[in-house]
Amino acid sequence: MHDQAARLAGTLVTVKQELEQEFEARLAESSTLAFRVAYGVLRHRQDAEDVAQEAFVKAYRSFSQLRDRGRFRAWLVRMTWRLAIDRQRGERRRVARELQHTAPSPGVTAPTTTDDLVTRERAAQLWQAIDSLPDKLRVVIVLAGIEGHETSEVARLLDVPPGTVKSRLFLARQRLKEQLQ
Amino acid sequence: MNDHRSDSVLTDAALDREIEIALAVDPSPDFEARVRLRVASAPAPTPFWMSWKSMTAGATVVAVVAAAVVLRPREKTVVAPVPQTAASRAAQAVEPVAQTANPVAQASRPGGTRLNKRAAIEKRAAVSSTSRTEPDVLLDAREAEALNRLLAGVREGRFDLTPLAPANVEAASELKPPTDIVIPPLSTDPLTPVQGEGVRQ
Repeated sequence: MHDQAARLAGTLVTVKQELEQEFEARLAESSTLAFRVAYGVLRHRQDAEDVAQEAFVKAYRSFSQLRDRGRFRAWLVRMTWRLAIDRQRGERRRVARELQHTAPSPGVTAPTTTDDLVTRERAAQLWQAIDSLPDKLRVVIVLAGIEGHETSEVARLLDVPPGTVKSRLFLARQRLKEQLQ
Repeated sequence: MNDHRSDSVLTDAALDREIEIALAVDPSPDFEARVRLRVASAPAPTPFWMSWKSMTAGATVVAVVAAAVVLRPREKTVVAPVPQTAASRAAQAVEPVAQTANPVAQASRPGGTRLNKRAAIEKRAAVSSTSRTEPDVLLDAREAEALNRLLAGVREGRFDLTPLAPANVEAASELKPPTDIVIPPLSTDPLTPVQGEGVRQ
């Protein structure tokens, strides 16, 4: 009886350790993806990191059902996007955040030349155009822009057919071009 | 800026490139460490079969099955004891005598013993059922007492009921004395032969 209890306890500990190790591996390979998804909505580093952290905590709680790598990434992207959208809608000072999106990342110098200012202005216009898109088109164009994701990868992340992704990308590009040109 | 935009038509590839550059922002170096810190304070993940939902579902199933087993109505097959009257006891005593009375007949019939046993069981059941179902004669207590007093008086000779009996009616209990049966002897006349009868022709 005691042997069985000890064996069961040992098994549980082993299973938990395995789960934690797997989660650590998923965190290492998906942290930048989650951050950039949140950044694509919020365009503020601190807010994007907060949202990405929250998504990871939720993923950790449900990790026993998300052990598959593909499933985990798809779930993480959708959860991060939803959290970011919710946060954006709750924000009051959206104009201030749009200005902050051009804040220099580590290793990138602050804009000092005219070209840099043009770049910043261009980026602001781009983001304004992306924000004006409907949610379904917006998420597709952002995911396709993150690390150059292919249509099939975007379809897998969003759990929609690749044909749907293609048509949405086409529409999104058309609208952006109309606004930017 | 405007000249730049009007001179070149924005292609899909150029647009995608712009978006890619705009999104090429990395998180701070301590981002993963902060995630680990936040996750460490969260409850550890458990296997699916250990989740509270599956445990609750399992416990509910066990409780329902246990309740069904414990509260299952048990079929009571208690047979009420049959009050054995003198008649039924006598019938039961007779039955074995009747069964062994004709062993030859039983042996000649295949399964005869089985049939007799079945008949005995049925008869016993019939007797016991009649003894159970025969209704009691219900009389008023005062009536019963009066009848008993009358019968006692007739036995003791205190009451004379002969005036009540009709004159020409014979007592049913009186039987005629038996008489000898006389059978007259048979007599037959001898046969007279017919002429030519009996002669060989």
